[in-house]
Amino acid sequence: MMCTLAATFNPDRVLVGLAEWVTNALSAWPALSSLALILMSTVPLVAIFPGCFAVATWLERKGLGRFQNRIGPNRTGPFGLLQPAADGIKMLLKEDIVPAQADKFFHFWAPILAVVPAFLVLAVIPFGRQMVPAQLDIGVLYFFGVGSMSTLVVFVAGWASRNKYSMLGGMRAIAQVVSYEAALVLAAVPPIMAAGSMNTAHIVESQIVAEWVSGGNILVQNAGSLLGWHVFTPWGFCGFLLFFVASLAELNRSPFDLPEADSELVAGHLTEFSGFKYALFFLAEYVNLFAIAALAATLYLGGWSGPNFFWPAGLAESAPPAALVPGFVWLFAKMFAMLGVMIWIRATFPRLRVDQLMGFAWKFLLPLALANIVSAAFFIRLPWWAAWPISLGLSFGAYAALCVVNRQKGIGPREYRYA
Amino acid sequence: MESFVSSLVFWVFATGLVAFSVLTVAGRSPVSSAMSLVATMIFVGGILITLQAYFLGMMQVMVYAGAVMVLFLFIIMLLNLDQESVRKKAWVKALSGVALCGGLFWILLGGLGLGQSRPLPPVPQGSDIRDLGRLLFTEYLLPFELTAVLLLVAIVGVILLCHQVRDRAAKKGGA
Amino acid sequence: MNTVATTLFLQKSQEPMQWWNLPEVWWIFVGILLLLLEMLRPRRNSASIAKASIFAFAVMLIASLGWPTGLETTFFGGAYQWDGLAIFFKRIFLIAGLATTWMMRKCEAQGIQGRDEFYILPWFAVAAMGFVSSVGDFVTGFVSIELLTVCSYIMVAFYRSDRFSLEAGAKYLVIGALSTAFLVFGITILFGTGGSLRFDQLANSLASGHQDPAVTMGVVLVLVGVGFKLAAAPFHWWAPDVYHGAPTPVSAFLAVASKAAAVVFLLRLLIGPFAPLWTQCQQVLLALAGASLLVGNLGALSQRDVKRVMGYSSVSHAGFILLGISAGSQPAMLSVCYYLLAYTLATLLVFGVICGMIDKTGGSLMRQFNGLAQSRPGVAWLMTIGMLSLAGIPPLSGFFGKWFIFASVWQEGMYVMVFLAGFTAVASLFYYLAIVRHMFFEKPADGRAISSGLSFGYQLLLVVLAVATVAVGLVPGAVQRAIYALIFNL
Repeated sequence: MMCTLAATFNPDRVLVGLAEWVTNALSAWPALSSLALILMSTVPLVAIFPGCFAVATWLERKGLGRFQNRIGPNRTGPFGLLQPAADGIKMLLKEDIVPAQADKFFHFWAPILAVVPAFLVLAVIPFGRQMVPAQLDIGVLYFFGVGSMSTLVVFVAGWASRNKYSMLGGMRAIAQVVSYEAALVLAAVPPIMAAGSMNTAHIVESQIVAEWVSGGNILVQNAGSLLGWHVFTPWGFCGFLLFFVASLAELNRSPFDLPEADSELVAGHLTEFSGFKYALFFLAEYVNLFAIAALAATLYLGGWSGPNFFWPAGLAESAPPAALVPGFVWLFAKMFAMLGVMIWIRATFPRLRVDQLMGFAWKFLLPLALANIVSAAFFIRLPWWAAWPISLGLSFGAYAALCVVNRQKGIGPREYRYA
Repeated sequence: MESFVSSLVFWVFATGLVAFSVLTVAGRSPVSSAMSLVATMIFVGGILITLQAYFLGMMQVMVYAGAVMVLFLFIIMLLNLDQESVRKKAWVKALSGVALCGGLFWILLGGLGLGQSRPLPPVPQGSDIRDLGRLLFTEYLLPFELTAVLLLVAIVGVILLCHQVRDRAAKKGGA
Repeated sequence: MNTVATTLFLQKSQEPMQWWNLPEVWWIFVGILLLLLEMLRPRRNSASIAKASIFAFAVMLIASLGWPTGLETTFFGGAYQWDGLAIFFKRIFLIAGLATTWMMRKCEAQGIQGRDEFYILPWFAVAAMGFVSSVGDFVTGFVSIELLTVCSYIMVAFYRSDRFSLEAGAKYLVIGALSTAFLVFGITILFGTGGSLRFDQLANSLASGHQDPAVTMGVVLVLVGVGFKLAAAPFHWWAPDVYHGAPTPVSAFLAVASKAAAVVFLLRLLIGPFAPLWTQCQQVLLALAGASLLVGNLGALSQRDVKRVMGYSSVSHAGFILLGISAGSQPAMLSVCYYLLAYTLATLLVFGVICGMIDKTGGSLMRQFNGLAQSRPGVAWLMTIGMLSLAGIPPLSGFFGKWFIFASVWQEGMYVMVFLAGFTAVASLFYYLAIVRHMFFEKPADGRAISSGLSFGYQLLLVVLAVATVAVGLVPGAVQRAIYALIFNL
């Protein structure tokens, strides 16, 4: 009795089991069951991520407050936890102002179009074992393809506002995002090479040492679900940092927040948006943040896998072991950890100058990402005793060489035209 | 059911494609033309995806809509094109253009024998990315490598033709 | 080091060719090496790179004498064919590249601001043309033509501060994009109907289904695309403007090498995938040839600028070449090759003189060449040799080129075309001789003499080209036999 209970009780599969139960119950009506499946994989995303957005804004304001030796929001609810709700109500009630000269069509559509790709990219994130909303063989590519739309939206928002600050913000956004997208995509290549697939679920599975997890004692099991993470290889470490830095720029976050630099451009492309449109942009920004953090975790931090208590799932020999902590908890933990680091960075670093921004992308990140791909190729193809030194040498040698090449030679005149 | 859905998807994409490409040509301001072109690219990507060329479809969206068109918009901004001064109504030109397009379409219709279905030549291998990569590095190795040279030359050319800003700035005293 | 020596000089040995000793691979390698050299070179003068580039061209030209002839092999699974036709055209490209870089050096000496890439880009262009001459499938052909075109865009617009150069660059870019669109559209349709991009496979599948109207359309679109590259009427309108605006060496390069690349691409298509569709192709080619002959020769009559005249002249020569190709026989192909050789030498000579004189005369208008024969008789005579050869005056190579083409077309029974070509050839005398008249019989407007100042090396280049123009004409039979042995892999 205990044994069957232990075998069927598997927190890791609670949601998947629920979905299976619903589809089985509706199996008499295939159309209805597939509809239910679609709803079950999309509605939670649309429900959970705005919630995460609310928590993130609170966390960011509170965290920044603490970094700056303030208290942060503390009036609404315990620890100011209801602040996001208050903000949301305020946004909804605010007047929606459209500038007289604005392009009405694009001004209306830009915030909506901003939210759409942000949610669309979530479709390929594996939230847990067998919990990918859309199993795509080109998952990573889909992520970047759809994600690249958000650049256009920022530009359209800036252009439609007919405001020079918005315009400048839009132009900065384009220049910045196009530049860093190259590095971002290249930084995502090594895990794809290691997994031999662009399918995000396969990429996560390739980071789990399956035979360790399914057998042995608890130490071996946890080692198996931890040590396989790509971040623990030389190229993975380098690649993760690259991906993280480039994604900061993709998200227009500090220290790469030039497009909406409030001290220079008011708020860049956001200047002329008020009320709920502004809230939508904000929502899109944070959902994008979570999505890209989830992708970073998927590519380099083992996705939904992590240290856990395992026991045999029992029913079938080949079934993966049951785990105490569900996969999505791990994934969200990793995402929020990355959010914490981003807040930390925002509180710590000053904003880059435009020429520094471009130089950093093209002269440092891009070559390093290319070198890292070579390093990963060696690591994947060679036996471990040769792979480690060669990969270490290549990744960190390239880093050192680029540092030397890009060394600043004193303070010179600024060389850029389009601020 | 399956074929109905796929043909429905195709017609949606195809209609959008044609509509937005007309808008690209007919659009008043350069920016809305460019945005229509973006939509066109996305629909082309969609059609490729319905043909199960997922990689190509996504690349289409990512490269053209995501990067190339963004640069287009950037250039339009830099040139600061005014929407009124760009185009005057020229009915003769417009009509002759329409006639030309119609003629070309007619030739295509006759030449390609649209309406009568023809079997497509079999695809040599699956459209899996792995197969695509293998093809690139075996059968199409030479053009693939030549493309690298092409890109190198393009980069050299762009730098050559555009990179005098620094000289001028230096002459002015680095302002 | 051993392999280097083998590749450069000893290829006649029995060891089989490998992909890494294909000449184009080496040319691209040289180009990249020169780019690196330029980066590492401390000083800001271009002399070293220019000299290195010219030297390397000379070395490669000498090395080309050691290429294995008389064998037909393919590389990269059929994408690259090594045979006599390819060798002939590759040598022409090398000659053009050498002369062009030499002329570019002259431009530099004239104080026109340039950069080292001016001497490096011809390497990539020549390598691209080399691949075109060996092309075995449509993808390779397309990518190499694009590589060539991109190099040309850059070279045409090289003098950015010059309005004409910029205008020419912009025009060439737009036209190039248009022609590429035609080419790609045609290739797409052929791929859709033929099911392959490889020439041999395509030839097989087109042979079985050549009644298909889609195939005809694909073929016509591809021919239109090639027509643009060839500057054949009615796709020629870019040629005079671009030749006029581009830096003179680049005009020479376009007129000679770019056109030769289009010719060899056309030949490859006609002996490869389009062979089953010869009758359709022949009609298109004849139409293009007739239009080019008329437009080129009559259009040049009203021009007052030597470079524009050369633009129209190149259209008319495209017409002659197309006429020869459309004859379709083995002797016709031979005469086309001979014609192209004569055209290459004479055109390079004429552009060489223009390039050398353009800073002395102050421009390339015909009247600015007034009285050149009094102040610089040698140069004037060299120019005259080039012009007469282009016009087709008997002892020179241009005459025999035209003669061979007329003969082979006559053999095929296309008498009307021969008469048309003969008529336009006579008309062309007017504008070629007009330039000669300006040099010999007109007084300079302001009475000043055109000063000298050609370096010994440059004079050497011009004299060698002139001697070659004469020599190829003096022994036409021998040259033709040599070409015959080469291109038919004997």
